[in-house]
Amino acid sequence: MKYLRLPDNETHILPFYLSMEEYAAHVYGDDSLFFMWQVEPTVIFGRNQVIQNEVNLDYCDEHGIQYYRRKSGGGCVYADMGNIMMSYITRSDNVMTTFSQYTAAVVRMLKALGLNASDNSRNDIMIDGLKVSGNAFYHMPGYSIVHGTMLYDTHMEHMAHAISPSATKLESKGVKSVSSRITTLSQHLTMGIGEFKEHVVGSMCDGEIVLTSADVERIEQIMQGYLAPEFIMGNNPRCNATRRAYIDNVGEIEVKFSLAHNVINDMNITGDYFLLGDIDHLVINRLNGTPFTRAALENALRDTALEEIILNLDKQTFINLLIS
Amino acid sequence: MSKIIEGLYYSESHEYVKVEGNIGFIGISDYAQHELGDVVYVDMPEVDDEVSAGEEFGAVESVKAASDLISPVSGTVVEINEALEDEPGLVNKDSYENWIIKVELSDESELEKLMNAEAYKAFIGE
Repeated sequence: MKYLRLPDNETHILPFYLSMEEYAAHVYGDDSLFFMWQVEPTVIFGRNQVIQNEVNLDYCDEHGIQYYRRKSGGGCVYADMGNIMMSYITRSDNVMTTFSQYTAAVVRMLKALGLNASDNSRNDIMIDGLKVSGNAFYHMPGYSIVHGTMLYDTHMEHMAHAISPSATKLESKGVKSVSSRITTLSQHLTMGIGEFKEHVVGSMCDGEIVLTSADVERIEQIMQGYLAPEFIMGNNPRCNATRRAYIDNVGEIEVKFSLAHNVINDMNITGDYFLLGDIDHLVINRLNGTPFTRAALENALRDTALEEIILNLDKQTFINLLIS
Repeated sequence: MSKIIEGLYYSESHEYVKVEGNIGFIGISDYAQHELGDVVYVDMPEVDDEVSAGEEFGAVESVKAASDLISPVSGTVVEINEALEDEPGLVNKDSYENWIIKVELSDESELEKLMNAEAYKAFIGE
């Protein structure tokens, strides 16, 4: 297996490395390839996951944590510079054997450091029974990409909050994350993160390929697909939402809507509030067709004086109800 | 031994096409569903979307992997199998009965580039 190196030591955003996997598979795919990468705080969720059910978007926005969708399956993960991400690219087509050969190689690499490492049926890698690495698989005709985490050390508070949304879940058939008890390598090893990465390369690879700056440009072109809102938000599985609350001086209010590609439709509002204006035209019609993000909701209602339609209903309270 | 049905067209990426008139029913072969394991989500296009031979049109996600779906033919999606939205595991029960999309074929000559049952059987080594 060859180690794939970038021509510089820059830290890129997460979709760059996902694009690098795809690019390498197409261009250098005759060898099995492997590389490691680290990113600034980022949440990455699975291909078929409902973003609002997996990512605490308000927390991430407040703390500058980025969030991206990937093309592999599985659940939601928080990454930062302490979480070493590993990518493995192979021409092998067989999902079962590719996965088990790769996780076995990672387990061997950890055992060589004297760690009590093992893998499980979910393709997690454990130390003393606690998860240190989760892995996901993206299969395309002719080649496979396995990528995963290797938790050296991390910002535990960000991790706990960023992937635990407090909002009421949207009803969906999308893929749900499974939470696990974790451990970090820093609790088991005295070596630093750099020394650990050298050990990984020595244990897993027998040569290297260095990409050129022309390769980097092509990777950046592929990356545009990952950055498109239609991919990040628009690939949300279909969902239904019911938001219900008692709001002081307003009354009971219940809002039902569905989301297709993260766009609101079929909104219905009921309750014992006091209606003053044309709720169909000024609220519901403006929200149907609006992307389900705080910014888009605020924009859709920017010219609506909500308290003139539903007595005492403050716009921000209403938007919070929809989001939460 | 995987189930292979006579009369269908198969691609190297393990999709099949069952042709009725100018409509192609596209799904994944029994071999492919078995390789993937328990299917948890089928990412499908929308009705009226165009699909092109050799291009991705969605994905099947199993407990193990997300695998791109590659259209064996070109045309317009006329129906998606909505039952898979509620019960993606139907693909594991019978992947031929549970097609994924129905496409109005725009170029029937593309079928000639696909494998018949016998060739597909040899291709997967059975």
